[in-house]
Amino acid sequence: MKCHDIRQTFISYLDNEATPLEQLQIREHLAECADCRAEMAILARLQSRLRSSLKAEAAQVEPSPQAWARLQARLSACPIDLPDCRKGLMARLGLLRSDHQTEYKEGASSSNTDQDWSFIAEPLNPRQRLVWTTRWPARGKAHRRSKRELIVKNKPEDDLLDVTSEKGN
Amino acid sequence: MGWSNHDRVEDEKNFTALFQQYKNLVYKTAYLMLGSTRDAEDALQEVFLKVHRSLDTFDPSRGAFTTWIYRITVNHCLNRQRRRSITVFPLREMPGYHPSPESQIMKDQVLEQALDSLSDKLRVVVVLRYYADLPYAEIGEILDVPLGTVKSRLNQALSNMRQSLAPSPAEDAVLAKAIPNQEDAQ
Repeated sequence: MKCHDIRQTFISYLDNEATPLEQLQIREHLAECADCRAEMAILARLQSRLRSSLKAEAAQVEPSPQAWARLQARLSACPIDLPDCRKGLMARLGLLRSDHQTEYKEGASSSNTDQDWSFIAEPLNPRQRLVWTTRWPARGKAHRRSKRELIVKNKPEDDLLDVTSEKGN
Repeated sequence: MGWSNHDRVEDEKNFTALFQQYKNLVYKTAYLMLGSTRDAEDALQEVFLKVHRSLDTFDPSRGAFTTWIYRITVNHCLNRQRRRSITVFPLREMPGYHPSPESQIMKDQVLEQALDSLSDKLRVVVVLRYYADLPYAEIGEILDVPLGTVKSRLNQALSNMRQSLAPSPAEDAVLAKAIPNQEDAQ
């Protein structure tokens, strides 16, 4: 796959939203392409900065203490006929659980951004072999031995995306 | 059957609790979308008026309550921006914006500029994803767009920001050192 095409999936990959096929294609491509590894590292850092910046901005502000009183005054000024089905609705729907999350969980995101991305920026030791294992039939570039000795094995018992390294001969 | 005084008192008590639970979600999302505390206060009022009036139309079989309240908040913000036909104010240029000293340390002004340059429809997906940490599927439900559209908007948003954020010299140096030239590696 060409760099331009594969890069369209980088954001969803970092957000853990890429499909298994996309994940496999990206990992295969990254193993061969230094430019895309650099791009992935920059995007991961951008996402991390974005999260920090947005959460820091939001942490500075709070609704005013008068917000509820203002709302109550407006509700009283324009009363509406509440339907019978509304009676006890909030409790019935479980909207008033005491343990409900009212504030966003800081740092609870399910993304790849905070993972250790050093592996994509680390130069491969020429003596070290990067071995990708997959149940799928090996095909295309990944099947060929590259200058970095990328090898795709076909072992049915291996995990789909198990990436391991082992000492070369 | 009608509403007795007890029913009304109970409803008001529950609605107060609902407001306390979700006020930050609404207020902070609106603040990040609209860029001013005054507009976020207005959004908080309008969103909860709407929630109060239409709570009986909420259908839990069609999605979570948080998805519903996010949708009302986001629609309010997008409509407000559309009516005013303006782009989002950069936060630091707002008259009432006085960040605390602690936040100044955390500020990333270059990033804020890049964020401010996004259109409203790109900014909203960035806020929902990277502030609220919502999964793509829920963002799609909130905005009533397919999953593919969420992906492409996030892609476009970060690509635009990536263009306006040239890597710092320090970052360049680290990357150059860490990623050897293919020919050199041979």
